[in-house]
Amino acid sequence: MKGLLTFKRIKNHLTFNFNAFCNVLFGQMPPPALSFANPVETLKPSSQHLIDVQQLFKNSILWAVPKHRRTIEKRLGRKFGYITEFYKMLMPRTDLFTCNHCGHYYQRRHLCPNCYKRVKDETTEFQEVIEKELGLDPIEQEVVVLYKGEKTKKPEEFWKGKRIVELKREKPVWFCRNLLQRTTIGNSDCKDVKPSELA
Amino acid sequence: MKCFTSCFYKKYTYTLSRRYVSTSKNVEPLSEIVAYQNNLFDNEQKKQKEAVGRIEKMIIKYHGVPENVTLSMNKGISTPYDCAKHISEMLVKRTGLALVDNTHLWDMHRPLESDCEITFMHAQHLPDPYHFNRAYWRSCSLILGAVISKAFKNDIQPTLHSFPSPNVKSGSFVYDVELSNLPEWTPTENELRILSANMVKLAQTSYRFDRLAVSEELALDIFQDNKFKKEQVPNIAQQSIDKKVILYRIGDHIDISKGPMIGNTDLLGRCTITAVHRLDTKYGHLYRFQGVSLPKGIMLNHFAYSLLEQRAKKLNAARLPDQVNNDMFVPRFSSEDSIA
Amino acid sequence: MNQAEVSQLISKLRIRISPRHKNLKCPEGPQGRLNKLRKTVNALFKYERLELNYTIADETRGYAERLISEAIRHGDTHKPTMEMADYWIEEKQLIHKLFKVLVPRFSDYKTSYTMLYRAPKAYPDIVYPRSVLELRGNPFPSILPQRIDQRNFIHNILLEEAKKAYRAEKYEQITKSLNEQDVVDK
Repeated sequence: MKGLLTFKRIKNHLTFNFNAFCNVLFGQMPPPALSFANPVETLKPSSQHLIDVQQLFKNSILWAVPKHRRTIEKRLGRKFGYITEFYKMLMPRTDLFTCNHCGHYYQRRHLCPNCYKRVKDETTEFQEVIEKELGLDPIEQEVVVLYKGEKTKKPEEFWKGKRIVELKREKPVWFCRNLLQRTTIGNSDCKDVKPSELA
Repeated sequence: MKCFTSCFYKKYTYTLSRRYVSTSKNVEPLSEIVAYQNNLFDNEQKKQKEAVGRIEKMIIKYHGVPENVTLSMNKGISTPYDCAKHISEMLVKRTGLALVDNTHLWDMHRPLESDCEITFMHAQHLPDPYHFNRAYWRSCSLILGAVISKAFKNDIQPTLHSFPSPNVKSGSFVYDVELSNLPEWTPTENELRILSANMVKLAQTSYRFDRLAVSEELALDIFQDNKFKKEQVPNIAQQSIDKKVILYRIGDHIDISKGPMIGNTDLLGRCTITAVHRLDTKYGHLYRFQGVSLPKGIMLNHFAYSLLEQRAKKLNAARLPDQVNNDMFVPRFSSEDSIA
Repeated sequence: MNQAEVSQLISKLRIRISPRHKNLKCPEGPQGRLNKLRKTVNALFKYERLELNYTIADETRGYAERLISEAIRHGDTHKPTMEMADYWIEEKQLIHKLFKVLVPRFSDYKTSYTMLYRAPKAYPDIVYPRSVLELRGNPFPSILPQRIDQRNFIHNILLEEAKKAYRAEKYEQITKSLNEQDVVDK
C-alpha cells in the first residue's frame, strides 16, 4: 500500500516537475524499492501507473551511451591498428634471407638457426668436457680443445702454456679453426686460376 | 609486432592506376602478328614435346645446399626447375641457371637429356656467380626488347635489331632498335622512368623464359615482319652446329639468342633504363637503349645504385650493329654454351 | 677550478651501454637484480659462451667488460679491483682465471672483450628474444660462419668498374689541366 503510494507520488512528480521527482528519488525519500512494507503488495500484478514509470526508467534515462560520434580515423585505428604501435594487418616479412652456407632461412641480423645449432651442440660438448677436466682448481692457463689426432700435428712448443683438453672424436667437416688466426704461411705461389673464365 | 608467418606471398600486384591509363587509340599494340608468331611457337613446342615419344627415366644427382639428393626424372621432359621443385622451395625461388655435369650451362626450363650431375646457380653463388651474371645480363637485354616493342604508340614502329654479347663490366645491358618516324629523339627523364617502370612491371608478372631450338625456315616465318632478324637468321643457322636457331619467349615476345637465360623474369630486382643513344649505322639511325639492373636479393643502397645508373648513361662501347661477323654468334664446339 | 678529466677517471668501454639499466623483474628488487647479474657474470667467465635472454645478456656484458677493463688497468695487487672481482665472481677459481688468463688475453685488444649475437627465435615456444654472449678468443667453434668473398657478385663488379671508369676520367682531367697549365706557363 505504501509502495503503491510512493510510486503514485513519483509519477505525479514526474509529470509536473522533474526536479521534484529527482528530489523524491535521491533526496529525502528512500529508494522506492526499500519502501515496500507489505510484500504481498509486490506480488500483485503491476498496475498501469507502475508500468508507465518503469517504462520511463527504461527509455527516458539513457545510461552508457555514446556522447559523440566516433570519427573515421578512430574507427580505422581500432579496426586496423596503428603502424607505429600495433598494426593488426598481416604484413609480409621482408627480413627472412637464405643462408648461403646451409640453405636454410634466417632472420636478418640474427644467427642462422641451422648453422647455430651445429655450433651450439659442439660448444656444449666442449663446455662439459672442460668443466669436468678443470674442476674447481684455480684456472691459470688458456684452454684448448683438440680432436683425435690433432695434438700430434703441431710441435710441442705450440702447446706450451696451454691446457689441453682432448675430445675422442674426429674433427667435424665444417669446423674451421683458422678463421681469425694469423699464420706465418704467406700467399700461395700457385698460378692456377679456377674457374678458367674468372671475371 | 610482425606475425611470424612465413608468408612469401606477393603483397602488392602492380595495377596501373586508372588515372594514368591512356584512352587514346594510339596505344593498342598490333596483336595479329604477335598472335601468329606465338601460334607458330606453340605448335613447334608441342611438336618437339611429342617427338620425345616413350618416356624413359634418368638419374639426376644434386650436390649442394640444403642436402645432397638423387632424383629419378623423365628423360627429355624434366627440367632443372622440376628437379629444384623436388628438392626445396628455396632453390625454386632463387635459382636462375643450372650447370650440368660441371660443363654445360643449362636453362632452368630446358629439358634434360641424360643422366647427369646438376648444380644450381643463383645471384650469390659461391665461389663465382660469373655465369649467372652473364645470363642475367642477357635476360635483361631480352626483357628490354620486350618492353620496347610495346612501349611506343602505334604511329612509331619499333623494329628490334639485336643485342650484343653480355658484358657486365661495361656497366649496362643494351638493345639496338630502329624506331620508324623518329629520326631525332632524345628521351626525357619521364620517358626513361616509364620504360623502367614497364620493365619492372613485366618482370613482376613472372614470365618463364621458354627456350626453343627451331629450324631456319620456321625462324624466318616467325620474324617475317622484322627486316633485321630476317637477315640474321641465316647467319646464325649457318654458324650453329645443328643448323638450328635458338629462340626465347617471354609471355608473347619472341627473340633470338644463343646463350642461356635465367629461368624466370621475377629474378629481376631493381632496374633502370638509363639512356638512349642514337647510332648512325649502315642500317640507318638505330637507337641504343641502355639500362642497368640488379637481381632480386642483391642489396644496394640508393646512392651506390645511383653511381651505377650514372655510369650506365654513358654510351656502351659494345659492338655496333653493322659490324660484320658480330661476335654474338661465335661458333662453339656444341650449340650449347659451355665452360671449360 | 681543478676539474678532473672525467673521461679519464674510468676506462672507456667499447660497447654500448644504455643510460638506464633494465630492472630484470626481480622480486627482491635492485639487490636481487645484482645477484642475478652476478651469477651470469660468473657463468660467463666460467663457460665463456652463454645463451641467454637478450636483456640479461646486454646487462651482464656491461659489467663483465667493466670488470675486465679494471683488471687490465690495475692488475691483481690493486685492492679495489680485487674487492670488485671478489664480489662479482662467485666461484673463486675464476678470479685466478680473470687475472692470469683473461687479462693477458685481452690486454692488447682494440675491440670489445665480449660479443653479443642475436640468437634465432625458437618459434613458437619462447617469447623473449634470445641471444648468445661470449668472451672473445674462446676455444669453441666460431659462431659466425666463414666470411663469403662477395667480390664477384654482380653489384660489386659493377661498382668496381664504375670506380675504375671514374678514376680514369679524373686522371684524364688532371693531365689535361696540367697540360693546359704548361701551355699557359710557356
